[in-house]
Amino acid sequence: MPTTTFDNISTVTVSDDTVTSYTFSLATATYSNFIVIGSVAVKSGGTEDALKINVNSTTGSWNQQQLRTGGLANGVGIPSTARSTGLSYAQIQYSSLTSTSLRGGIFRLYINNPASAGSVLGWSEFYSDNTNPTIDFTSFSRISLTPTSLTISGAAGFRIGSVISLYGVIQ
Amino acid sequence: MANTFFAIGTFRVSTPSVTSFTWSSIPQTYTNLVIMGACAAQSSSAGLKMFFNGDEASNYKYAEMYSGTTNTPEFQKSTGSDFALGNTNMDAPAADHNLGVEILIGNYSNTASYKNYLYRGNGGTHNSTTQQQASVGGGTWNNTSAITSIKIAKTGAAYFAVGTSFTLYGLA
Repeated sequence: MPTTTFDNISTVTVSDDTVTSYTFSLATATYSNFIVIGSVAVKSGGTEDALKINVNSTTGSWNQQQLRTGGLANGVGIPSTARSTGLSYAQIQYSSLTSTSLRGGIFRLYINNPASAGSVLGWSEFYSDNTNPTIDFTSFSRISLTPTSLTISGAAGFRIGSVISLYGVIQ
Repeated sequence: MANTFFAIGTFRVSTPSVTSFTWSSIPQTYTNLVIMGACAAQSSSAGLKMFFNGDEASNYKYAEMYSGTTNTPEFQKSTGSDFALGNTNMDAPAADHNLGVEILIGNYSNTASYKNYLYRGNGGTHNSTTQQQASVGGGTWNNTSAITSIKIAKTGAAYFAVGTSFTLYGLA
């Protein structure tokens, strides 16, 4: 029976809130799929922004689609969707984090078999907490590229104690 | 590099007399926690609830997208709720009405910020007409304490059905 191994490749615990991006190597010769799990918040005094994703330290043309809640107070409504093309970065919605609270968000980002596909295809889930808690589900793509590294950026800086982990799956 | 997915503890229901499960003294040595479960109610349908560190007050909030009972997608958000898993509903009996649920709890041991979690539920069944719900959501526990215990409970008066099981994993 083939074995499947789920490895923690790297975990970053934020100790310097002036750092605005973290780059992880994607060992595609070893792992076929990658999962990033992050518990993050904007640094104290920082400004709300989106989490940005890129690969190989280059900007590029990303497409993404998003299904999300948002825009209403407590109650029941209809989910909203959004489509974006030609973005310089893929984005995980980050708009609900506040600069002064202890709140933050959790995201789970998947990149599936990027070396084999010769492209970057992934999706993420993100929950953010403020007075209007929000759940996002986003897919994104960037074609004609074999990624060797993944960069996650937050322009305002991350709150000290935030954690981002990269996991790899051997199949 | 070592495998980093560890089973902390499993609960399995063998008699229909259980209304909740609690993992206590959770090791603080992992980065994230994952709960995977398959469950059903022993009689009437019910929802799932989750509490941290014995806090059953209104210190939770959540947002979710779920399939409604009228085949209309809906979303719901709740602040100040102790109903931390939204519309992850299960039906009865176990043989036909299992709910599969996965919960990811991030950075659970930190004491610098509130605790956030993501969850998915594939509720309902092949023949239920009222509880076929798929849900994707997330929530917050408004507390900076490290999570040392987790309780999974059900709404309503009935018990978890025999065959229900939940496992807590640590993710290094």
